Amino acid sequence: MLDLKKVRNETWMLIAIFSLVFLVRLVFTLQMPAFSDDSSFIIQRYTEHISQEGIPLIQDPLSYGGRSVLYSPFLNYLLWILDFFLPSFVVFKILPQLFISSLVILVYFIAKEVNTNETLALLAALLSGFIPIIFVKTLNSISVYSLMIPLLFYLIYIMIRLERDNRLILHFVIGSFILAALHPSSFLLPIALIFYFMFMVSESFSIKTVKKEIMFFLIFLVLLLQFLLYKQAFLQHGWGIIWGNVPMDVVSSYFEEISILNMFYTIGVLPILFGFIGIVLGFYRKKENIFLLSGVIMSTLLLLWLRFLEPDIGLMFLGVALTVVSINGLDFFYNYLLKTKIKNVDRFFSIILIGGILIFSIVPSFVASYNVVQDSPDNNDLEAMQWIRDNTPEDAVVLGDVDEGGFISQYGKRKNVMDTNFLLAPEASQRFNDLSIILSTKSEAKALELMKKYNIKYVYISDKTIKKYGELVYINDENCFKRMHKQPAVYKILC
Amino acid sequence: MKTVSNECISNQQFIRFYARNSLFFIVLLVAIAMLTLPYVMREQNSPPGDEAYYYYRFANEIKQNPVIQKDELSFGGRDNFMPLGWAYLLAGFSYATGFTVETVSKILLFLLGLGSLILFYLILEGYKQNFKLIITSILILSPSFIYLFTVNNRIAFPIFLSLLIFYFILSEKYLLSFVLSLFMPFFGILNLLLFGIFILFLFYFSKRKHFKKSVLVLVLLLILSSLVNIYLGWSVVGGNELSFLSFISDFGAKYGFSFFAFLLVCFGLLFFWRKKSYILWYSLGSGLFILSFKFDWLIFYLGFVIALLAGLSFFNLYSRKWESNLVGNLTLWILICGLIFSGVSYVHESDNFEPQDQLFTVLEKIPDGSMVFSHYSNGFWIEYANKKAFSDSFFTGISDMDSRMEDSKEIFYSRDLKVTKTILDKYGIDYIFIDQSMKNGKVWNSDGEGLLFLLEISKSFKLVYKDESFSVWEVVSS
Repeated sequence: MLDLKKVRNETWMLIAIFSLVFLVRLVFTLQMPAFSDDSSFIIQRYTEHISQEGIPLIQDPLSYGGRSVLYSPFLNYLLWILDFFLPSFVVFKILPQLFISSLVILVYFIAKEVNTNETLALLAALLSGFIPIIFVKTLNSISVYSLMIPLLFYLIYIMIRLERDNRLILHFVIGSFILAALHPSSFLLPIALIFYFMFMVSESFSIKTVKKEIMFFLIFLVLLLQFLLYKQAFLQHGWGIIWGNVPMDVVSSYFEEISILNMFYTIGVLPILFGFIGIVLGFYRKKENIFLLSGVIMSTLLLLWLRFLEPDIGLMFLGVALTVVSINGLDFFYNYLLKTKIKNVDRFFSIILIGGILIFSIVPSFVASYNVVQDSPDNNDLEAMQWIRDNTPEDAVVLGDVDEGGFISQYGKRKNVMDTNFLLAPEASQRFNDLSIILSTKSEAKALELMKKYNIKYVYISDKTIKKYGELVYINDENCFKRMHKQPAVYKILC
Repeated sequence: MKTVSNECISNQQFIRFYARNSLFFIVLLVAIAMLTLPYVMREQNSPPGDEAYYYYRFANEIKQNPVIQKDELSFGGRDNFMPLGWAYLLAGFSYATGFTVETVSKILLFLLGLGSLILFYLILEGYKQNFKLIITSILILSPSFIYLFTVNNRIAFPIFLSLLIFYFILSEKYLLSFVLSLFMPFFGILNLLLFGIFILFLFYFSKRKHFKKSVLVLVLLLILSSLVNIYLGWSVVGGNELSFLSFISDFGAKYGFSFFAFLLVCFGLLFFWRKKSYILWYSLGSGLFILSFKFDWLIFYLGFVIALLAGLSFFNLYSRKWESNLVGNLTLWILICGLIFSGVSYVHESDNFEPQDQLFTVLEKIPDGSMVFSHYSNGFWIEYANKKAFSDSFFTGISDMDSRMEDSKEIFYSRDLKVTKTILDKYGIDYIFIDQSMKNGKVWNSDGEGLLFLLEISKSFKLVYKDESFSVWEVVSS
């Protein structure tokens, strides 16, 4: 039996940090009746299809008015299996939060490998639990990154441990298969390992043979699985697959927000500041583990620079890697302060540090989460969807903003004009432009022409849409539009 | 008694030969499958390819009239300029066997494919059996090999001939190889030049005493080739330019090679960068790779070099001692799966290769001999259907090519009827042929652009035929 008295204080602290992160996430998540992002609705619907039919959905009758879909069904199958043992609510709402909260534990262990200072490792764990961009992007959603990020860093951890323990190879092999099957962003790890290889060679370090072998293995595995899963998309889009057929306007909007200031806000001041100091020190002191983590940082920066990676996604990986490396910088800074003759410097430093985490990581995470709560569909939206489901013909096409397509199809069970699953989507750019015109034009004739083009029968206008595009002027023409649901508005097209 | 003994010996020899090469027979069987599957899986009756139809057309013409002076259909009529060795071969076999040109092409390509594979295997004679099997397996799974020997083209025969000559040179049967070389000029002077340079390198590095003679033979062959080409009025045909993506079939290239083979070649550099003999092969591969950007047909030669280098790399991974057997075995299996996947998925995709049967049904709606305006990539099919094409993919030797292309652009994108009509009249264009790919980005991106707009609103164009994929418009004379 486990003797609790023998459990070390650090372990209790780690459990406390993990619990804190998980509970905070739960508090936010459970406030909302539905998910906060469109892709979660799509994942939920595809998982439910697997529950009913046993096979992944290939021909989606509701997305884009009906079309072929291409995705890795691994996450859907995983959720489906878990759904056997647990209530759906737990599987879709709570488990993703548990997965991403586990990052705290992984960061702690990796940090301990980077620097033996346990207190700093705990601080890194706390920081990683409140990286604003991760907190927001995975909050109240079935994000593939909730699994992807912890898994990627688990593999990094194994890479570090392989130096001493060859038995972990099997873990690495299994983890690699899962990672490669999860999402195309798994390309990040092989690229990171190539950078690691280059750093090691440039510093004339020898790399353990087994590490070279798993590098080869991982590179070929990721390529094979991605080709197997996305062959059709490769053929259709060529290099364009990198952007997954996302309309160029949407792609540009991703990069509009990226700036140094924005990075400080989304990752946190401490990880960036001490992270880069940590890297410089790591290279100066020729620390192999820092080379590995720098590989992750370099590969992310490279992919971001080449615009091969969506900034939010890149910043999530960057945030975790910098957080781990930052303890190297913090350790240096702390030791330096100890050498000074300032009184109670360690206490002073700890207070400053915790204050910094609070101000630059926890508070921004909370603020951003509050916005997520505000923008998520509420009970009124669900009621409107219920109305659509009960009162419209089964083959009706319902117009909503691009971020609401999945919501319309999942809860309203009706065809959408477009959703955020752009891969293989028919004329995604054209649709995106047309949708923007419909929701922003003042010309009723133009809007009706485009509505006719997509065979749209109902229009769903949420508060979020009004906030984004403003009030629709032409919709008040009672000859052509009849309001069927009050708040949020659902209109039937009569013309 | 003596006879029995001879039989015994020959039986023993056969058994020994079989035992030594039994696995190669399996490779041959796979090759047979890979070379026949594209035909079996293709639902269309029309064979795949675009340039392929140029040779079908000429082979059919040669059967009627063996002396070809003028091409009446390409660019509305021009002097023939292409080396027609392959078309003559098709016509000859078709005449002798009574099969159609299309069927003869299928059979010949299949036999040339198997022949090339066997020759390649024999050329690798000095290497270990496992190594030879790996290389030949990579070769038959390579999309460029599958394309080369399943889609009618002018390169398949020269490649087979090159391998045959190379094999005889290695076997030191120089006279035979010289006699065979005499056929090379009929398939394009550049093929001969390239192969000649390669053979010169071979002599320089491994058979130095024959080097001077080989230079002399090459010069002689080049002079002969020039004379033949001048006499027949054939030009030096360069080829099309390729982009980097056109090398990798997994990214949708028409005839590239497997991404996994490419990666193996790249990783091979890590293993072999200190070994001089391999560096020579890498240099050859790099040279071909760079030249392929300018001359697309070189990719077929490159396919053989890639197979060799990827095989070397794979063999190195296969025979090295892995610290973790699990990772080692998995890596090798992943590579095998990757190589198979590229080949098989290419065969699967080949079902979608243009043209579809319906295209020729639609083209039948246009009277023979009429001048048809369309995208140049449709040119060979239009000509095969016995109509004059405003343009096709063979731009060489067209004196007014630049102005033609400018005018073509003007027709596609102008919404000024007067301008469009003037240009159409200038070239005597009778019909306009539009397919779906032209509307999906090849020419236009949305309805209502340029010519599409004019076709809908103007009475100068009369709709002859329209369905989801094709439309044909007659240009009404004013």
